[in-house]
Amino acid sequence: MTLTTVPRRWWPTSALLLATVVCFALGGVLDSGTLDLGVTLLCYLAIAQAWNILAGFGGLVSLGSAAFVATGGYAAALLLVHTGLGWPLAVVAAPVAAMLLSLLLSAALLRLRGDYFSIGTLAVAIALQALIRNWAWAGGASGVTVPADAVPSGGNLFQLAVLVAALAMALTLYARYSDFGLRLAAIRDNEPAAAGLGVAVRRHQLAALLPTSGITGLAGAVIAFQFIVISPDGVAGVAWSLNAVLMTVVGGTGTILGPVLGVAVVYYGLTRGLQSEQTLSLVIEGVLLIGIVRFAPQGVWPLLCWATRRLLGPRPGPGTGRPVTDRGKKDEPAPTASEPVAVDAV
Amino acid sequence: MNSSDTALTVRGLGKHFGGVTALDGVDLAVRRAEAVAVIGPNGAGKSTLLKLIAGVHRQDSGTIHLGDRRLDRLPPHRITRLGVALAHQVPRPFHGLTVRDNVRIGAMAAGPPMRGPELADLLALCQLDTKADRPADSLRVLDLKRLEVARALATRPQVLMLDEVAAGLVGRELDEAIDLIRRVHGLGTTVILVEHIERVVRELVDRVLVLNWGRPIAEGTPAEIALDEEVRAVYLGDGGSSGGGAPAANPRDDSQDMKVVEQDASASAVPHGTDGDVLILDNVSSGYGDMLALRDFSLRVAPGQIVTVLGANGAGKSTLCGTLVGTVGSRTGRITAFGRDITRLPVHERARLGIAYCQEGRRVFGDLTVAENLRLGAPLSLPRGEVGTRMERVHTVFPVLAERAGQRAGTMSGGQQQMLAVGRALMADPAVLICDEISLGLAPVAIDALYQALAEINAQGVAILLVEQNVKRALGICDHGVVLSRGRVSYRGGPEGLLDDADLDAAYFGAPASDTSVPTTVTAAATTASGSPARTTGEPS
Repeated sequence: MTLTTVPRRWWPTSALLLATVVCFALGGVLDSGTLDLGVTLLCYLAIAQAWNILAGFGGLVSLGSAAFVATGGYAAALLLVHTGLGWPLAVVAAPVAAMLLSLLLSAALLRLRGDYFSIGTLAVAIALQALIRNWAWAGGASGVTVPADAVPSGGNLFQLAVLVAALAMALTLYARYSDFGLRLAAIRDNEPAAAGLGVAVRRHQLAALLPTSGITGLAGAVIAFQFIVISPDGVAGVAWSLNAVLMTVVGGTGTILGPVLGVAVVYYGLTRGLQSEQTLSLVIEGVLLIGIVRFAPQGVWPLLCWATRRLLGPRPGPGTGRPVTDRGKKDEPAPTASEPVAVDAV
Repeated sequence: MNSSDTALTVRGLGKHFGGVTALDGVDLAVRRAEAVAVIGPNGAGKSTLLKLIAGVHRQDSGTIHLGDRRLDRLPPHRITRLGVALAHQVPRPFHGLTVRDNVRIGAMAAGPPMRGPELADLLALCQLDTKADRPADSLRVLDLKRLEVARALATRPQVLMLDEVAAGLVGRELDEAIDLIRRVHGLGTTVILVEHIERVVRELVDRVLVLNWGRPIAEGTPAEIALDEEVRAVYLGDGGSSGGGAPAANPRDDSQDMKVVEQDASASAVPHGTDGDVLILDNVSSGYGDMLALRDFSLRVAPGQIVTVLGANGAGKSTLCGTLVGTVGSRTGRITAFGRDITRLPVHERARLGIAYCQEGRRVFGDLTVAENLRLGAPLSLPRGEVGTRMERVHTVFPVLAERAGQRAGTMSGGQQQMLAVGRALMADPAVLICDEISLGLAPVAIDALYQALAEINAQGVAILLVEQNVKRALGICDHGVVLSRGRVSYRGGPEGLLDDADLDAAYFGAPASDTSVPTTVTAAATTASGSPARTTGEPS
């Protein structure tokens, strides 16, 4: 514990605290349209960041974010509709329900590896959507209506969303800088090797799965408060899962600020700009994903960092260079001072 | 139930994979602070034994105890925490993490997290201290092996199991690896080695267990084992132990100054020779990204010749292969094959010209049968009858491939898979065969068989470019040798110039201080190659 992976680990935490306080304060200032947009973006951020922790740091590529958004949303909505309890309890119930679901599913899902895990989570999301659609008590296909006067709205809802997103960011910082995160990264890079070094693989994966599904469920509750009317197609739709993947991959998988950037780029560039052209939007999303995976597999954020360093710094030293792709790892002599690098990228 | 000085006890251990018996009734008792080696041919079950002890696989019968504690029902991470660590044959670094973090994982998983000084000591012990903050991705082979050992050590093991950690290392690298294991053993750690390199076994262990087909066939001191008839027959073979499998029969070439130091770089270009040469590389440079792995390399291979390219890890050997077959683009220079400029020719067209490439690591299709693997090596357009004829030709060189035609390739031993890989390359009916590290990780007997086959293939008129780490073997068969060091040619000439260990070391790692001031481009009288198209060597001993 005395040895930290990255020195100065307190400044990201301080920056997060500051940003949270500022955003929280903005909740009392901004107009209702901006607040509404803010809630949407913050929910996307929380969901994308949860996916980022699971996939980027833990190597578990999930396609089931929608299942946890729906669980959280419906848990909060049904609690408000069927009991007289207040919204704070609904906010607690949403992540608890999502975590219970993931705990239940983990027995099966965490036995799956790689693509099979992805397919398993996708199947869960689709099955859950079908289940809700046929579940009369939960409103069936037409959904449920949250009592609008019983939930926070406007500035208060925005502030709630700020806290949820901040929690997601804090978890990401923990995944990045803690010893737990280091072990998680080891499992991601080579699972048998990690087990061979004494890392309890299943336990660590569960420890990553539970809080991330909790966060996703929490975001689901906020979405339910915002939408008022929630339906299987609205909160359990596969679009939530795809957006989480797209936003994180575009921004930078396994980075802290990548998803923040990704949410902004994808939302403003695609979802918002092409609202009237649903089909075209899907096509462009697909093309964007292919382009990113092909030309900037680490996402836009690391690319920006690299470009900034190139522009500002005198010359990148070893280890700060452009993110390496997987080409030609072997059999290359490392460049040394006596043998200057012959070909240099522009 | 165990005497107190026994660290690890294995009783009646058995393991099947499908229909294949990997281990059958193996007993082994290792005392505290003892060093034991497990040797045997490929497929003997050595790695399986280590993996069963480490809990990676579950045994079908038998028991494993650490002291009095039964291990064989525990998951791998629990076994590691109890003090049994395994360093794998193929290093498995956590690519995204730094060297230091890689080691910290091992430390934190078993016991209290490692404090700064302790971690620094461990990194220093494994000679990784200067590379601690580099990403594990950037390490070269020797350092990856060190990291594998360092990570295993970080778990504070009572018993350290090393699976072929010296495989692929040569010369000074091998010395350093042996030295590291000796130091670790010196600290009181019980060591179990699986190793093919006889020197490692001889220098490090007190006791050797020999396995064959999953059964123990001999046990004793290294000296006793070396004399055991059965062990010689199944494992050591004839050429392996002598170390003198070098080309003693090779007549000393008349050009005395084989290692001419040329200061004028342009003179290193290959003199223009006949168009009959199979392959000509003229001042070729190639590499990856910002790095050049091969610099101003020139070589010519005459028809029917065997040319060997040697060099330490990272010297540029595999890059050379890639450049020849077209998977790595060349930056400068010209490559000519059969009188045609192929510098810009794509991979498949080069293959059609008759350049066959047998890649490092075998790369057989494990789920396909032997016959199917071979068929895939033939061009698509080839008529069925011709495919059959070629297959028969391959079968005459490797009879075992005929015997096992219907068997799934993945279930064969390493030596047989390597034969299949060479056989598959031959299906293209090449004029030149490029073999990349075909002896890596093979038992001495298997290497004997392979090299014998290479001689046969060569006798049929196929030129061979042999990229090897197994110096003695390669020199025993070749007409002409090139040593690469950090992407440049450091020696070129007949094999006899490399017989002496000191010469070899100088060519591999650079000469001692006196020479370093000269920007040496050692050429060889490349004329020897083109001047004597026929092989002058005797048969490999």
